[in-house]
Amino acid sequence: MNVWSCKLAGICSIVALTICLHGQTQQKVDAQSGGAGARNPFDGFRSFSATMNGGIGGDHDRKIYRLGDLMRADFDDSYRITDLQKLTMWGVQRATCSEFAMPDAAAFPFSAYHDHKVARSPTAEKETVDGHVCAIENVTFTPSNGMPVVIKMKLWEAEDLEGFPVKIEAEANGRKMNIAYTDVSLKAPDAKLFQHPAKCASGPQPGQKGTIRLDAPKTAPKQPQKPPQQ
Amino acid sequence: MKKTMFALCMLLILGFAATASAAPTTYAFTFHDTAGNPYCDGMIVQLYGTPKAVVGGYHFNYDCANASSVAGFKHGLPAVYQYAATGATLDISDPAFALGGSNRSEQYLVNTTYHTWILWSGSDFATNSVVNYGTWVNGVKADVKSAKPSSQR
Repeated sequence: MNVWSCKLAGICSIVALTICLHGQTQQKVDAQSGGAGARNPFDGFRSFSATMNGGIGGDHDRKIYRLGDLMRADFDDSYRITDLQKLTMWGVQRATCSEFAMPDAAAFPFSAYHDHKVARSPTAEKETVDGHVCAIENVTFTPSNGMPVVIKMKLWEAEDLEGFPVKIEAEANGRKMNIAYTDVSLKAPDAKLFQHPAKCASGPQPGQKGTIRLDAPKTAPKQPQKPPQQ
Repeated sequence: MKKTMFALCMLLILGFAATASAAPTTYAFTFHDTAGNPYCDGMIVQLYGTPKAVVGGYHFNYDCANASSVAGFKHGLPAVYQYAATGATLDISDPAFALGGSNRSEQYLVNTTYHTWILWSGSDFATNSVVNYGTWVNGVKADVKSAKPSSQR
């Protein structure tokens, strides 16, 4: 290899790196703006609490809260917090805390379709859902990466809740999923609800060595950490 | 001559060892939640193949009543995709809910070192979400009909 070959290889590497970095930056910009279309209808509700039924996790009366980019879902003896921008999740149990690289199911659809193109079609129809007079809007989410599946949603937007979608029917390729939100409050939830232990980490927990002895009698932690309640 | 005999013996021993290590391993377990409460379901799966990385078996009581055929592979995964575990995991696809008509893709990651599991779902035609996670115990518990399945949160 002579000097010119080395120089040529170096130039090609720099060009390739520049193209690669530009692509990544563009992806980030698209993800934040929701593509070239309309605004994602779920981005407007950054502070609320509600009871959720249905969805990806098939939730039953799941209490959820959103404050900014964080969403919390309550469970019997634990809670989970999803970062809607980073799409990561903390699971906080009585004695342990785990970090995951994906959102909790209850965060859908607020966690989804950030990189999709959004098209919104308000209708003149109105229906009353759970005592709320609702305007009906059809929304489509089209992948900006060329994937062929388009997600269609029908939203029942409560007029007395600033258009919060109290009922959602999602459909793609003929498959349907329903979500219902009740007890919706647009009041900002307490920021304490979104706290998690500082040493929340992924992987085996402190004191967990190899196989856990799960048949051993359950021992309560000395100072049980209860999920903060509102 | 002695050296040749020694080499042949070593080859035979290594051959037997290789065959023995390829024997299937059976796992039979019941899912628990993070607090140690049992769900009504579990799995009986075999880890087999050469190399030993193929998983096949069934998910009993997936809905607290029926069983579904499951399959997958054993492979390494970073800790952020598992619950309280890291390294090699049984990555098991369960079609039960898709067959049942709902719009879900189900994927269990079962870690046999740390006795933990996590259930992933791809239901929005775009991404994955965590549905549930917990620990598991050896054995198929018969007296768990009153509990809910691991896919119910």
